Amino acid sequence: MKITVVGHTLEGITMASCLAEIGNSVYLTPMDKHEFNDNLFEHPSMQDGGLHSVFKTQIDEKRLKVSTAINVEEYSSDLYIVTTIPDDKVTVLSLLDELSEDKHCKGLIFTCSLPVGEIDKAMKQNHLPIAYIPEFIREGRALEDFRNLNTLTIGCENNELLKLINELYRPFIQSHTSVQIMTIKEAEFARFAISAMLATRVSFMNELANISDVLKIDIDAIKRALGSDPRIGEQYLNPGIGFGGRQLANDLLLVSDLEDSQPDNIGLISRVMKINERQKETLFRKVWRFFNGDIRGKTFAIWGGAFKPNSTKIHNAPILNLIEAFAHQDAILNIYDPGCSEELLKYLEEKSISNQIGISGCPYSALDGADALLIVTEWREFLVPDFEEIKQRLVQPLIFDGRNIYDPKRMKERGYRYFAIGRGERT
Amino acid sequence: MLLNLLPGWDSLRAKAEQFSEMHLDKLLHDPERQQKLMFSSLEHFVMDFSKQRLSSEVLDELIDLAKQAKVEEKIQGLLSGEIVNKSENRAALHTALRAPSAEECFLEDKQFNKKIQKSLNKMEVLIKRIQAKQWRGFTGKPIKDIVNIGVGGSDLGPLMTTYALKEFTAPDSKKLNIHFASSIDGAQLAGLLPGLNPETTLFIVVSKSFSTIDTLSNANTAVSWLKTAGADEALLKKLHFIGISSTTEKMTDWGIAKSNQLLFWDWVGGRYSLWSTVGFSIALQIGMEGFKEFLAGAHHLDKHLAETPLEKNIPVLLSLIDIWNCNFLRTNAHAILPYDGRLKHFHAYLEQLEMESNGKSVSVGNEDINYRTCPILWGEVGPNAQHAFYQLLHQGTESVNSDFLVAIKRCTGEARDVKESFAEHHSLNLSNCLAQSRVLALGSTALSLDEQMKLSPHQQYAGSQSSTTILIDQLTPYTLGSLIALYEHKVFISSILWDINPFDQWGVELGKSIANKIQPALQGEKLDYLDCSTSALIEQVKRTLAEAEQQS
Repeated sequence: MKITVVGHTLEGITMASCLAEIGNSVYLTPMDKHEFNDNLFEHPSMQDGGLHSVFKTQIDEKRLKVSTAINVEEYSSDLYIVTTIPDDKVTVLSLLDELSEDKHCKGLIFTCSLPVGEIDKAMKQNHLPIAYIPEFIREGRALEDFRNLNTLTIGCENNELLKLINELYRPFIQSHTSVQIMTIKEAEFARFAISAMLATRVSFMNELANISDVLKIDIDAIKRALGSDPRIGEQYLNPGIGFGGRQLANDLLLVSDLEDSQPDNIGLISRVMKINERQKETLFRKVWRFFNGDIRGKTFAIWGGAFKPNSTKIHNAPILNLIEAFAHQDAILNIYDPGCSEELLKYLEEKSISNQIGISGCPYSALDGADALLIVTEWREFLVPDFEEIKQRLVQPLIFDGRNIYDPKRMKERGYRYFAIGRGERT
Repeated sequence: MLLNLLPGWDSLRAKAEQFSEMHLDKLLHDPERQQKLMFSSLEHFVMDFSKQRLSSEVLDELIDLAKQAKVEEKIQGLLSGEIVNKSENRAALHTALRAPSAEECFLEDKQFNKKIQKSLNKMEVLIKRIQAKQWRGFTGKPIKDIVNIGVGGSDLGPLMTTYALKEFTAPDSKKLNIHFASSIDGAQLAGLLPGLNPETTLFIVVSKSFSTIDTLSNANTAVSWLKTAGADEALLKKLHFIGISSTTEKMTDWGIAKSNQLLFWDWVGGRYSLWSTVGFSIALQIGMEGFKEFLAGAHHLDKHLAETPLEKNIPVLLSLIDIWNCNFLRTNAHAILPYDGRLKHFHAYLEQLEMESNGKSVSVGNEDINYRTCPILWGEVGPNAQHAFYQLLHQGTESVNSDFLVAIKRCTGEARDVKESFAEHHSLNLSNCLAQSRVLALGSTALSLDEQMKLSPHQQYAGSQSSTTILIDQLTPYTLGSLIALYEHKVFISSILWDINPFDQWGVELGKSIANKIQPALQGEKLDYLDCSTSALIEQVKRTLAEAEQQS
């Protein structure tokens, strides 16, 4: 099949690579010129586990081609897959009009999040068959998620296009894959419902962790009790210092807007977002209370910055709230993160606070002379560090863990004062 | 020199005989007179004195009187930092506080401006931290509520201004709530505290001496309240209090952290202090940029005062109208009537400014004064007062001079959907303002002859109550700054004519020291030098309290 994938996004690159890998002839184009990256190999998403090499192989074998813009004459395709939100100038309708020029085009699949009902509106004016398949890959494990589909939600009301979609995805569908077919509008809302559910679980757990702090019990026990109940399940029960990333925040805002459209709205999702914003400050507040509000001139080592492990992104990440809070108190930060150093440096320069905040190339050198270590992202390399070395380098053996990656009892035995989220010592 | 010894006094007294008998109706049909008595020499303001019982010739004589009192010289003295407050041996430099730079400052010593700018800069740092939600309470949560604890000048100016300029709230301050507590009985705090969270509340303690009992008793109650949340007193004082005072020592002794101390100086009178760091709550609400606009509006008035000939000098003219009413027409009541709900606290502010400054009967040279000085001044938002004390203005027996204040343009910040309704409100408001001053002046003669004939005695309006109408382009931080400074300077000019020192307030001291003596008596100590009325009251209070204690 000839396919054009629109969007130089993680999803776009992953889909283009995987679809080419199974024999399709694929063009990868940006949505507009601003998005165009003349050296895609340098694209931050390429660092997502193994993606770089699959992409390169498909380019070398010429099944995958990269173009600078959508060009229906030169790159005529059977299917277009749009993975990114059209910008202000390109509306869904104008995009449809443009693709209708391609006489071979049999349909269009949107995977990006659009306000619910947007596609239906456009379809009333342009009859090109459209499907909506909500994006399902997770940053840090893009290839794995796409090649080994768990669920596939397809919003499509056109049988011919549905046949094409089946053909396209068949090689990735396993015996355990759950395929759900529904209307476009339902699929659009299902995507938001999933985001909102996950976010609600996380904020709910964070709320329980804060209560555990008051009750002086270990949230981990509560988490185990919840997770072992089959009605609840184990996923997304980790308390922490809040979720970040661009996509989830956008989805939640859209759901919160939909909430507002109910006349008797109470605002569950906007509360979920508020709890999350407050949670991003938790670690700072624990430090503040520990030092009795006096952290001027003190140095803190921070491990982690990316909004989640294996990511290079800091958008909406708790590290941004921490940087702002500590910088306002004239504290000094040394941050080590294996993925997002460049983004962090750029951010610090933009905010003109780079003199107070250092980016370290090594987790241990970040600790030198620091009054405490803060864990912000649960990268695998932080899971079992050299605790003796940490102790030697810190001014005092003191850790504030925002991701609950260590065992409070073991930390005490090792001679640390250990504060975490809903467990460990309490300030 | 005493007012009644000035050369122009007698002639004006003679003219006053003529005008005090004359109904205002006789004066209000002369367009030429009207033109001569309406002034627009002050940017953003129009002053109409034509509803006052005088002619332009009288005004000229009053201006001569001002010249005889050396008003021009004394204005320069005030601005250049002469010792104008002789009883306390100091200058009154509130005008220096609002000079935007050393070049614009009237003082020769340019260090003053540097000091002032430095304290404003420190204030800005604290304000920005609160606005950025980075001022942290003892649990690390950002501050949301700010309570200004102060009394007199440390309360009235900031309260009046923050209320008036609510619609100019800076975007970063929209989620902050600013409150005020002043009264020594703790009633305001008692009302406020249940709605506040100790973790997220910051107190601004404002006291020039940092020993005002009213303020410190409220501050101590705030500490006790914060302590109920379970933190250590020293930590709470460090994180939950900003001190604003002229004495760093006293602030430090009380427990205010050095970094949270804001200074002003003993050459700033309490009732002139809102231009200094005392204006913290104003600047917090409208942002530093808005606060600088507010200062610029006042500075504009200072320049107007310094540079405009007396004939067109608005604060001078406003003062001369007061002198005419008070000392020549014997009108000793003055109503402040803003037709603007935003100026709800303006009269309370002016009551202090005018009556604490000029409510005196000893001259600068310590002679007894044998003429009237500051009139009794009170007020209310005009349209509301129409349903209250206007009855007395219209049909009572007292002669009252009024200031009608109104902004011509309104509707800047109201919700979109009801914009038209608000436009309608304003048109009603303006017509009420113009109608009331007209009826006060003309009385029943505002009606046609036919209509007048039908009135029974209780429907008659005597009229001839004088008033000044002050039209303001629109109310902004800048024009409010100008308006306040206009009244400040009016008060100063009047003090020159009355030959009194407007910058001290010895009259408020004795009561404080007697209260200190009575408090032990309430607790059982025997005092033998009390009058029998006070002793009887003390005994009654003690008896009632003892009974209440027994019952509980």
